[in-house]
Amino acid sequence: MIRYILGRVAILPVQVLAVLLFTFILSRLTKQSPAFYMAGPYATQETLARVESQLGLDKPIYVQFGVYVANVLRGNFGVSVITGRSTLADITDRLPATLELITISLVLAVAIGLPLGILTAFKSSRIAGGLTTAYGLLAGSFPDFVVGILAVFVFYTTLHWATAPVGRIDASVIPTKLTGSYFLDGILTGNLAAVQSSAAHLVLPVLTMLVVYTGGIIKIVRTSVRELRTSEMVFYAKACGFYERTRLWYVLRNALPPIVTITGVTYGVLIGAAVLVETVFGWGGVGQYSVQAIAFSDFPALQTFVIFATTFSLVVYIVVDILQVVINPRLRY
Amino acid sequence: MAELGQLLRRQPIRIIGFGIVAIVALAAIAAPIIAPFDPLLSDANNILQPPGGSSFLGRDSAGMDVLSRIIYGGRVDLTISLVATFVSSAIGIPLGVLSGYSRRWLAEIIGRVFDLMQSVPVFILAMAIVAVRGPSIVNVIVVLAVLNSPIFVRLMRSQTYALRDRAFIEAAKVAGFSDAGIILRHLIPNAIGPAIAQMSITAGYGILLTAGLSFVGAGVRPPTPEWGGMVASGAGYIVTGQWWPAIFPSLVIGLTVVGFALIGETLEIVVDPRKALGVAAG
Repeated sequence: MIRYILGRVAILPVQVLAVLLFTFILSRLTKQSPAFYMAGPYATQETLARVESQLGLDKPIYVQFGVYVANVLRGNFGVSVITGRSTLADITDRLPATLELITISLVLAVAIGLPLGILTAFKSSRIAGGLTTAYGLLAGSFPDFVVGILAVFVFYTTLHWATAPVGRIDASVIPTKLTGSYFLDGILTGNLAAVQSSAAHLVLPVLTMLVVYTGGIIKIVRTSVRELRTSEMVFYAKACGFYERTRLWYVLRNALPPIVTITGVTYGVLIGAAVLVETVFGWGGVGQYSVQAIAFSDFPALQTFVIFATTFSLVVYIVVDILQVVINPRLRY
Repeated sequence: MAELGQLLRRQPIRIIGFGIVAIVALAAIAAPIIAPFDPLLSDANNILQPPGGSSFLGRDSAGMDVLSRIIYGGRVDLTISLVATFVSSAIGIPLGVLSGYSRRWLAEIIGRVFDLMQSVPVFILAMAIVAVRGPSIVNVIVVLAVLNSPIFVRLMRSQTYALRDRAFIEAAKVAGFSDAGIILRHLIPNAIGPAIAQMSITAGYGILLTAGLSFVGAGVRPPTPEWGGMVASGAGYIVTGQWWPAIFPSLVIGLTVVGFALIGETLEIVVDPRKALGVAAG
């Protein structure tokens, strides 16, 4: 098992290198020279020339890629055209906002999707089945930014229940920074006003994520639980006279691998969804940062975001693969 | 086709999907005839005019007719997603069969590359490429075509794996068929079912991606009528109560994708009747 885990982790650098090759090619497809973006918009002619030779733009393309990778490894991702700061600093500043949004969404999506999936796998009532099927269909078909806009229209514009879709918290109650997540920091420092304000701002974006992405979890849980319920293994257990409760445990225990997979996949999908949902709610995380980067042709910022977001989802997939081996003895050989 | 007709007769509700897509497609084709206004004509006197009267679905912040723009927008969104879907399947199907049939290292590499593409967020890659190459219809098509092809590779590969050691393939080999002959005459016809059902789902997904890309400014540029772009330019007016420029195209996006998803689900049952019982195929 240890060997498998080490082997799986060893693939990550190769995958990240492939991602870097992708962003490197992107950086060579822009209209301006990459040195222009690296040096920032206010660089003099001399600085530009110096950066150009630093990047090895006069050398063969594979040398340029080597320089590019070396720069990334040293944490030198370039300078943002908008903020004039290192894009790495910009991203790390905004990352907690995004992680807060998508992690809370994921936890709630699983907390809702898991019991609903199990319940609908056992209940063969027509109405429940029809409702979940209809929901599954609609949830996958309305894009997240559309659901977000509908949520703003219904709960803010029409009903006045929610706070305005701007920002993560009232500026007057920002808690002392520990993790960067206002919600978590509010709890950790016992700042009730911060927790309240943060929660009020979280409601609509999280609701949007839940409406769109809980459907997939319900569907997978229901399918795998239902498949196991009618499996020969459980049938045999019944024939042997095992209690209903024991059989239920067999079903749930064996449904765990696909559930872990869909949870991981959803986490990876949510970082992509964050781009659109953050834009709708003015969330100020890395997703919105990337959209601003597009609007102002801030390619170093966009590139840094792509590297971070893809690496995030690659790491999530590794964790899923490792958990699979831990929870599924059949994979240990 | 006979199975499809049978299924539709038994469960007529399944016609809804075909109906939705047919209406949107026909409206897009007949746009110049049925659209009440020029989609680019802005009427400065009637900015943000509410639905009703001469403009059935109202006018947007530039005074353009929302209904006409939705009808014309279908041309852009459907063209992008359908062309991209055909190209994706044209890339993915042969590569999938090859990587499933061949036992060489090349097959392994094709598989790995496409697996990697599936484990990073598609939307982020698409957004980055279109942003760098410049927003245009052609760029969106190319990007969607490439990024949506892994699912076809995966489907064809797993189907081919299941088929390649079957007796009829062995028999074809013994009978002297070349590898190309076996792939074309025996493997593809037997393995392609799920990929065909997937094409409808991918077409719906293509509309989601196109709209999303335009929404963040990395897709089709305004004032070209396109659904995602319409939502983007109308989104700012929601909080002040002018909901129609954003909500109507939003609903059209959702309904169209529902239509494609329904068609895909129906086709899945046609190619694999076990799906109808809620039993996933192995």
